[in-house]
Amino acid sequence: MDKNLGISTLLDLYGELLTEKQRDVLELYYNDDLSLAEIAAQYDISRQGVHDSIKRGEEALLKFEEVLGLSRREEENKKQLDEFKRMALEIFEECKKVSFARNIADKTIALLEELDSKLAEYDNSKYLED
Amino acid sequence: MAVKIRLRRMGAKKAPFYRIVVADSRYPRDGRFIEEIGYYDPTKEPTVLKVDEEKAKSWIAKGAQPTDTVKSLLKKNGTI
Repeated sequence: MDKNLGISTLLDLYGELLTEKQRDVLELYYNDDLSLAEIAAQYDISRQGVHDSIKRGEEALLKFEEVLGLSRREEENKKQLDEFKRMALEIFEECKKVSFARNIADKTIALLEELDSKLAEYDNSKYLED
Repeated sequence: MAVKIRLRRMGAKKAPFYRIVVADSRYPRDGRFIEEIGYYDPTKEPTVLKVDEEKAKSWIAKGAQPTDTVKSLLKKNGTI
């Protein structure tokens, strides 16, 4: 069974809807990268038991995504925000060319700040540093 | 002491990010690790994998066991 790290994202979105045990097992498996055997040892259950629990949890998460589509929607949302930002930057560049566009430039800067604060939710770059 | 090379998820909701760490297998979840040897960013298109090859190789030579997931990432970028 190959790990599908995409499950980790679904776990972010729908984890609360699973039973606590199921969520814990999936977190150990996908977020801490433990093997079935290591999880089995931790809970003192069989490897097969862990395997079944993970399978069931994954199926539930995939079903939630199929019905609710939050992950799909987040992805579209991010794409759209990136596109809006690109457009706002274009407007800002245009403003620089004309002397009377000061107030448009100011509003565009406010818009860019708004977009950046929304895009920050999707940004993981701070983990690159330390 | 059994030593493992595994992924460790960082990053907030909607922004996953994984460190590749060398850690004692007995304490898989307490956050401690011996050394960080790279990262994997699945949010970029294409995904970004950065590994200190020297360190990865030297840890594996010393007997550190990469998890299946780390192994497949290391294979993909040609480290092993």
